[in-house]
Amino acid sequence: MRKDEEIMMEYRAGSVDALEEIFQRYKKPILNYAFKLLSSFADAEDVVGEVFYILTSRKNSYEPVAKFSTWIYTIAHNVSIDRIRRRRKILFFWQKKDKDGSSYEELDIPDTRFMPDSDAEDSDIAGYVKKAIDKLPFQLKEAIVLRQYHNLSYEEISAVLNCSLSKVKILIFRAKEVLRKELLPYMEEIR
Amino acid sequence: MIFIHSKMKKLISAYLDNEVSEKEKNLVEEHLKKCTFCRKYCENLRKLSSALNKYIEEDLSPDLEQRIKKNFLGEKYKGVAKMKNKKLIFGISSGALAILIMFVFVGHIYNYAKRSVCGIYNESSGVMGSQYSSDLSFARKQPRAFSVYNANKARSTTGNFPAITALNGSKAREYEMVQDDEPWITTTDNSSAGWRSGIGGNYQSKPLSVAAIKSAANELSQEGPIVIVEPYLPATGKEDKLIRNADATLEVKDIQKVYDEIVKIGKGKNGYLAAANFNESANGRVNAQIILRVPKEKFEETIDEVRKLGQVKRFDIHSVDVSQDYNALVSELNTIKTVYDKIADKLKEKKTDIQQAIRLESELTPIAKRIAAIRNKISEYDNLISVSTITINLYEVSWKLMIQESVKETKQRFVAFVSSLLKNSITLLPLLVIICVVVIVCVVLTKKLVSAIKNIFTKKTS
Repeated sequence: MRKDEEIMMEYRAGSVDALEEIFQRYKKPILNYAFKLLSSFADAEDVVGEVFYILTSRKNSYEPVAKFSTWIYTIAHNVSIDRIRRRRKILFFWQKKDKDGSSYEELDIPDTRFMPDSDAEDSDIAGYVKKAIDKLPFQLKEAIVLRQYHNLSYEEISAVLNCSLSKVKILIFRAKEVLRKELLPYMEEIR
Repeated sequence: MIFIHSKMKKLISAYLDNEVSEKEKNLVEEHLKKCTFCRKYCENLRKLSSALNKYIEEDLSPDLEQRIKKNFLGEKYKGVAKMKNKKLIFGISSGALAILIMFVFVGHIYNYAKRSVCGIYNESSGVMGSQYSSDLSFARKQPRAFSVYNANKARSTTGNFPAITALNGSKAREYEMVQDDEPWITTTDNSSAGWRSGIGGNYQSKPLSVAAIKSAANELSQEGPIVIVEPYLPATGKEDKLIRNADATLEVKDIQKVYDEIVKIGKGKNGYLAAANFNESANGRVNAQIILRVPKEKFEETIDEVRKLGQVKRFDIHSVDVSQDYNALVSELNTIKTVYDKIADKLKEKKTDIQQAIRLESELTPIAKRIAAIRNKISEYDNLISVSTITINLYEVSWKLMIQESVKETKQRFVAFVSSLLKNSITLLPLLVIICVVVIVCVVLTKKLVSAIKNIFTKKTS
């Protein structure tokens, strides 16, 4: 299997097929990453489109020194942040300020399309997991999502989030702590 | 111990993610063997990881995938870029257009307002009549003549410059004049606007030069509109031969009752009712004109009593000094009488023959006629001087009528407004089209924004 970086360099050289391959590889991860962050499927779809738009428009700025996954997730991270800011501008009059001012909790608008809506489905662990992730503060959510679902190393995460490695460690630990407490009653069902 | 656990928790978290050094890994593994609490914690985190993996991954819908491919991949990307650029250009140009429209619109309104004020001003000059055209042309040169006049300033200034009448909007305003702390009633009607006389004392006019009036006008024009009116020279009031008349317009509730009152006042002052007529106008308003004649000694008392009968809408007292005419007539009468007496004496002489007598008789006849005419004139003057004429115009106050009139006036004004609006609309038509387009664009954008917000909140609340 060819490396992402090689494919990207091919695309830089002008291969449309290479772009198609990148798209096929990353469309789903980017969509899920954005969906987890924004809790809105429509927004997540928009993010995918925008990420690939940026990717194509800034293809020449990519250098193979960095991992391609880090680069594309950085783009997705920036696009998601941008979208949240835009959303905040619209909702500024409803927004409650967090004590530390760093949380976007109020802006995490849940997408109910995939939420379990009956009592039977409530017992579905996936639904609780989604709820618990949705509740997480934005930075914690981003760190744990990148680690848990996209297998990025702490170092790659620090590059995406543009923060120190130690901070990533703390973010992931805190996220796990919150999720553990939140999901503890349901974890007995997990074997 | 708690500190060790809390530190160890962080290490266990990183350990499970394979993000620890070899040394840390050994440390964690050693600790886990000894500590059941941390072992349980580690187990919990493993379970958590398994739980998190239960999260259902989503995929792009096929149609969206197609759309993204079409829009952002391959050659199509260029089109999208162009589309984005087009949006930017459209945004900038529409913003610039909106600013331009605002400037044009504001400028147009400003010019229109200026023109409208000029219109009002010209209208007012029409009200004043041709008598003051030269003065108005002077006032027209004053750009500040369009602003609202300061009544207080007018009061104080007109005390010094009685020839100045303030003009506000389209109607000439009358101000009570203050001269030597004595109240004076000015008589400024539009047909003869100017000063005539006052009651309660003698008034000496101060003739003002045109330059002095213009300088006063300059001073006043800082405050508001002014129109200079040449003074109507008042009677000196020093002679006995003054014909004093008054015109009053009163608004009353019961015209018949007031009529009776006026007759009573007239009788009480040894005067008489010279004439009276009642009529109902086309709009249903009942009017009456009563001419009262009272001895000159009772003139002021009568005026005071008449003024109390209703709401004074207009009061005009005017005096005509006929001393010169009167004295001329008297001296002429004396002269002619001397000549008459001499001829009559000659006629009486017995020496006079028939022929001479006839000639003298023919000379005497016109002189006698002239004497009779002069005596008539003097007696007329005496009558006018000794008895003053007070003309009282009465009209009834009727709510119904007032409403009718106001409705009529409103209707007229509305028609005038609509017609002027139509006239202006034709000139503004191109601008209106642009404004309509801008408004439509704004409405569409607002609707989109509102629906977007609604969507977001529907999701949030559900």
